[in-house]
Amino acid sequence: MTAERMIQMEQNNIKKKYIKAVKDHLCSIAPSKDFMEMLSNNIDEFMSANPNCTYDDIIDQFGEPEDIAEDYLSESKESLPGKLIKKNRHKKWIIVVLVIALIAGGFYLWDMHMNDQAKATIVVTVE
Amino acid sequence: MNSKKDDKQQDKVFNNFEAQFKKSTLPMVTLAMLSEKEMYAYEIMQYTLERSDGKYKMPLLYTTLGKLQEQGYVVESRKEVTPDNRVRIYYNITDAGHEHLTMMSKHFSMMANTVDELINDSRKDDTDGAK
Repeated sequence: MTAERMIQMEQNNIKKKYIKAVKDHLCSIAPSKDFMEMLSNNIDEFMSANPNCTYDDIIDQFGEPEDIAEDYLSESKESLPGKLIKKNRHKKWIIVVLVIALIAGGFYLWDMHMNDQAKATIVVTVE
Repeated sequence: MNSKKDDKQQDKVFNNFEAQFKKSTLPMVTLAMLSEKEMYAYEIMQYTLERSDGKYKMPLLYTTLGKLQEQGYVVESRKEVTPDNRVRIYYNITDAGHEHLTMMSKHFSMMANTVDELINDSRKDDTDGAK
């Protein structure tokens, strides 16, 4: 493996680690594509100018991941607590409905199976 | 031991002050930089750092640029693909952005002068009292 390739891999790892750290602080909210693209592009630009940069250099240049995430959350309309609660409540209802549908489906199948067995029993009795 | 704790506390206060200050001034500084020439995001960060002798870092530019675009003060002017396939989106200030910058910088100067005067006056009072 060439030294250049190794540096590139190391850079990719640092970038992934930083972006993951930002995402981890976004409280399960998917960031906008534009936001992530700009962040990613800026890191690429910095890494291109500083090929031997470390993770700490990235933090020094772009800030702590939690600060980036906090800023995004404070500016994002999605982060409004009311909307978040509503979103989570919707999620809960969807899960409840799915569970009920699964139980009902299971019961329906079990009932059909039992009916089939009953029909089979009748047929045997006739013979 | 206590002094170390105090230093940490003071650092925290200064960092918080700087963060708040930047949050308030970032849109204005971004517009000021873009009023000189069109730039891509990383270029804005680097140019500002250079112009401020490394004192003004812009870690939170992403949301600021998005917001300025939403407000119509900044537009994407063009895209450029670098030889190593990085996409650079250039931003330019609009007429509304120029107007907003003029108003904001006037307001900022007024506020900064007021705070400066208040601080200087109270310092003067302290010195007079000590005499």
